Parts: sequence; structure tokens; C-alpha cells
Amino acid sequence: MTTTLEQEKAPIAEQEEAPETPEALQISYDAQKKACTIDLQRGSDGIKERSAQLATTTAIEPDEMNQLKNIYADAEKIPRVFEKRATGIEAGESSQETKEEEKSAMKLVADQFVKEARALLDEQFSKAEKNSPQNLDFHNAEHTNTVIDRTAKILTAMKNGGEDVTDEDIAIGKIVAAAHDLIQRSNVSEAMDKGAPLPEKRKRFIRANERASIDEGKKMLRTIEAFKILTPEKQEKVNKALEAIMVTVPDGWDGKTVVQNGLTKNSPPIERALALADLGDAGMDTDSYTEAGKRLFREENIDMLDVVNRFKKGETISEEDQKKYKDRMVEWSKAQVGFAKGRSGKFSQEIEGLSDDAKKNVTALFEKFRTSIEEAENIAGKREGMHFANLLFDMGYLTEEERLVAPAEKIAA
Amino acid sequence: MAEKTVEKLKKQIALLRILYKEQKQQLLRLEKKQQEVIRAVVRKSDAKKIAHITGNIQTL
Repeated sequence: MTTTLEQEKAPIAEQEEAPETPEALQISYDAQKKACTIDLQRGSDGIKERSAQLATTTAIEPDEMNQLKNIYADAEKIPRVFEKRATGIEAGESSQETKEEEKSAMKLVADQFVKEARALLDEQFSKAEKNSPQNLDFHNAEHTNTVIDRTAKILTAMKNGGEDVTDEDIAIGKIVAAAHDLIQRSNVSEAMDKGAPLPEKRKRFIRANERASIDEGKKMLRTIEAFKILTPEKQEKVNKALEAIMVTVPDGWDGKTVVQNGLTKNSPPIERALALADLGDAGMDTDSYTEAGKRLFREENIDMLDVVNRFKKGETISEEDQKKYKDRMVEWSKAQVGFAKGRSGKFSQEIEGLSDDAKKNVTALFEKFRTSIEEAENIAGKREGMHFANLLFDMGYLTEEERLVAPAEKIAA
Repeated sequence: MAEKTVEKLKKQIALLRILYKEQKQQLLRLEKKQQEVIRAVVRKSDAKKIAHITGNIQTL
């Protein structure tokens, strides 16, 4: 059976960590270099051989023949390029190529960091069964992923608008976004640790969580292999950038929406991009805003979990309780309208300080305010008329199947 | 001194790994391109065979 290059194992991945003496490291380096050279040479030979075979077939057109020749020539170069650049690395040359490797290193740090952060978030906040207070329905890996993507998009928009943002800054922005919600302590986790009764509502330890996430991010960075090869200046740059997380502290409320008081017209690009991305749902993605609204409600309203679990077991929920919780869900849904309006109203202030072109580019990413507001109005109106079971379903507490098996009197309007 | 050499070699190993990954990616991209050419040639070759067979049937 032929294997493609992708299926083959990378020789360096199997290398064990060598003891840290110069002699042992030199031996390890030489062995790895040899293994890599052989692997690349074999890959290159395979491509050349297939190209040569294909060139003899009669069905081949001149255009395809040219493509094959180019593929052959490019494959031939690869082991030579590797050898040349490895020699440069050994000589400690600060050549353009070595700089390229260092630039790639920052991207590699970002990729590895994002992977680690996701795993930690999954482990902490998505592992327990559904409707468990241990889980975080909103502040989980999915939210972080969205913030990573949005931070990168906003930074790119700023860069294209002439702001002082480099590709390296975008990679650092991803690291900062991946770390921004790593630690999520609350009165619920505290009660669970002590074995105390759970509170009615989850109150996250704002500011302390952001501080702890920065510290956790710095700790995690030190475990990333590629981070170790960054120059001390670059390492310091990433560590310093993590402080931008403090801008996401939702320490203000203007009556409608959250205000991040740390965000000013002088905020540096990564800080601004992260702040905008973290509260970006309403402006950037209406579906995401609708979903986030439900998730945040479920995450905060801890006492609802008991009612939902009882309901799923077929227990009767008193009329009084049904009304109490229904009112709460409907009020929340109405507040979503105000929240989106508030975000929309704050937006121009939040991009104050950017160049006109950058403002234009970033504004183009935030064009969904109107549809988010309309959709939130529409949903709030519908929920007001829903029966309890349908409302639980609409808020994401029940699956379609669970709703359907609910007794008729619990569904009928 | 030994500490500096260790640091230098560790950095050298890390840079080598990045360089290798980069070059391996290049090879994978080339392999993908080559697969596309192969698929195009095979498609045409099959079409020719089918046309040839159809032609034979019509002459019968």
C-alpha cells in the first residue's frame, strides 16, 4: 500500500527529550538533522519519481507537463534548502532565513498555545454532563475560539487600514484571546469546593478571574516548546501583551449594556481588538448573539438547573414556579434587545482613536447590529407567548425529544 | 560557558524542528498539486477509453 507524506510519521516527533548537557544535545541535534534530511529526501524522491512516471503517459497535455516539471524542480530543491538553512542555523547566522524561522516561531507559539488553552477550557468547563453547575454554557472553549477568530480579524482590519499592526501582533493577539477566559471562578465553584449549598445565581469573580487568567497564560507559555526559542525581548512582548486581558473586565454598566472602562481611544491595537471581539456578538454575528444570550442565561441562572432536571424527570413544577422562571427568561430576552442597542450605541466611541481607514475596515466587520436588535425583539416577543416547556426548549435547556415527551398540559398554551 | 552552549544548542534544535516542519509542509503542498495533475490525467485517460469502446460498439 502506498502511503502519502501526510500519513507518514514525522521523524522529529518521535525524538525523546535529551539530557541537557552540551554533548548530549549535540548528539540529539545531529540525529534529528539526519532523520529530517532522510525524511525530506525520501519525500522529494517520491514526488520526482511519480512525476517522471506520469510524464511518460500519452494522455498528458503540454500544460500538465509544465506543471509536472515545476513540481519536480520544486521537490528537488527542498532537501537542499533544508541543508543550507540548517547550516545557517548551526553557524548562528542572523540571516533572513533565520529571521523567517523566528517569525514562524511566534505563529507556532500561537498555534500550540491555542490548542493547550482549548484543552484546558474543555477539561474545566465542558466535561460534566449537560445542565450541571460545573459546566459553563457560555464561558467555554467555543466562546474563546470565537474571540480568537474575531481578534485576528479585527487586527487584520486595523492593519489593512494602516494601523501599526504586524503579522506577529496578530499571532500575539491570538495568544491573548486564547488566554482571556482561562480561569473562571465564581460563587458557584467556591460553594462546590466547600460542599456548601449552591447560590441562586452564578456571580463570576470579575477582575480576579482576568488577573488569574493572565497568570495562567504566562504559566502556560513557559510550557510551550516554541516559546523557548523566542528572544527574551519577544518573550517579554508576549507576556506584556497578556496584560491586555484586563481590558475585558466588564466593570461598567450604562443601564443597557456592559462597559469596559479600560478601553480608551489610546488603547493599543491588541487590547482594543480583544475588547471589541469579546463583546462582538451583537455587531458581528446575529446567530451567535442569539445563541450567546441563551447560553449566558443558562450559565448564570443556577437555580434553573434544578427545575429543569426535575421537569425532565417528569415531576410537576408548580404554577407559581413556572411563572417565576418564565418571567425571568422573558425579562432576560427583552434585555437582550437593550444590550444590542447599547453595544451599537457604544461602538463609535470604542473605535475612537483609530485612523479613518482602520475605522472603516473595523466598522465593516460590525454591520450586524440592526439585524441583531430586530432578531432579539422578535425572539423576546415570541417567548412572551410561549408555554413553560416550549420556553425551556427555546432557551436550550431541553432537546426536541425531551420537549416532545413532556406531558401535554405542560406544553399546551 | 556550558550553560550558554546548552542554551545555544536547545535553540538550534528548536529552529531545526521549525525548519523541518516548514519544508515538510512544502512537500505536502507539492504532493497535493501532483495528485491534482494525476487525477486530471486519469480522468482524460478514462474518457478516451470510453470513447474508444463506444466507437467499437458503433462499428459492430
